[in-house]
Amino acid sequence: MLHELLFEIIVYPGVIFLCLAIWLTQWYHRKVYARMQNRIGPLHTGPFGILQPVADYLKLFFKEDVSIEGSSPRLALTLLSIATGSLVALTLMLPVTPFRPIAADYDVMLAMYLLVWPTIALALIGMLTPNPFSAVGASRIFSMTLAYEVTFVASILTPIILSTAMSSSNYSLYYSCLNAWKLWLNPYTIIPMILALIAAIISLQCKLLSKPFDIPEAETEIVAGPFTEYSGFKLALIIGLHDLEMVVGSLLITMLFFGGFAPFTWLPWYLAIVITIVEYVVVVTILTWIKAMTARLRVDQALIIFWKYVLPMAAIALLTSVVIAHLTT
Amino acid sequence: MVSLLLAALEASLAIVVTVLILLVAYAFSAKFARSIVRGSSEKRKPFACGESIPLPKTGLPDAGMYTAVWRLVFKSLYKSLRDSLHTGILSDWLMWMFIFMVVMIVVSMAVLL
Repeated sequence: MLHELLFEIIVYPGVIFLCLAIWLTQWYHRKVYARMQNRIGPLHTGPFGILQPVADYLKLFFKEDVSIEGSSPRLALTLLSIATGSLVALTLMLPVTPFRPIAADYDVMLAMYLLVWPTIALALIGMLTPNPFSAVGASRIFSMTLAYEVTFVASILTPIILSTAMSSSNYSLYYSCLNAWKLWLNPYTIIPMILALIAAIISLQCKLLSKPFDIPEAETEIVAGPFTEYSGFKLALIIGLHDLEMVVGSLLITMLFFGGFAPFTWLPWYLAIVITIVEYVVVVTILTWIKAMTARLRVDQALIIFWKYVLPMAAIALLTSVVIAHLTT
Repeated sequence: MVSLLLAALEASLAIVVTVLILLVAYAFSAKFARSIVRGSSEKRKPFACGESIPLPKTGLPDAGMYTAVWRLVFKSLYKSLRDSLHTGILSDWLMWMFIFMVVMIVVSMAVLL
């Protein structure tokens, strides 16, 4: 049992698989983002520039690591490693693993805890370097957290509550992922699912600090925000954590809202995998599309948009799902 | 609850193994890349767009952490509420207090029952 778990953590769907997923997702994301802005994107490194993300990581891996006076480089490294580990652990809770997943009744609490770690780490590493730009960036991340974390949690809880009411799963992320796709077939649950999906995608965009919510790392105002003083391996870890958040967040939405392969178990396994990949690519494309078509908001504008529109949307979805669950059970 | 505890332990193991892998990668990187953590070179001074900034002035006071929320969002919300609700007429104030009392009674009754 332990060697199966270690295989899952290290090989699939853990560290090695996620590294490959980051590499291919980033290449696709950059290509699509560039095409949407009438550019070519990565071209020269490898065929169609496919090796560009690897080259970027390797460059940072061998670059000098400068720690400025008064900073805490070891604590920053530890925080970034724990945040990366929490996202790896979250992947093991999704139905992508060939062996026994990390699943239990009420494990959604564990998933929520793991999801918060990257945000905390990215904000705290800004506080660990004595720099005005880093401090302002970290302050902006904390301010944004008040808006999107609640919204993201509410939107993720909606399919979990509904699928718990409709099936025998007990607030388990794994079993909710297997059953939640059936909610699209029920006329009573389709509206909260649509609202929760929209809120989840917008919140994920904000969680990823992508446009129009890249306020904490606005390069024209505050250089690179919380990451201004980082270089070398630590900067590679920061970029890796951001890319991993995109991969795991998109995978979470794919599995929880669309069910991944679960609606297609009657198809041959390779076709089911292809369909899951297509669903994942659609989610990544939507995130890229939002990034390409919008300009950066001010922090107060972003907060007002969340509190006026996105949070009520997620709250309505959550309340409706609670009422439906209550009536069903 | 035992299964939830087991899940938490498995997740913790995943975090520990990942942290170990990354620390090994860091040690490997430190062998090749130059690490600047000591001394007083120019590179170790805080970046301030070419300006010189003393260390004590680089931080942000704790009170400033949520400035954007308090000053930009809540203050404008308070102003718009004040302008629309505060008329300066005593009977309007009485009406708001009465509504507040009714809400408090309804909430207390709901909690008690």
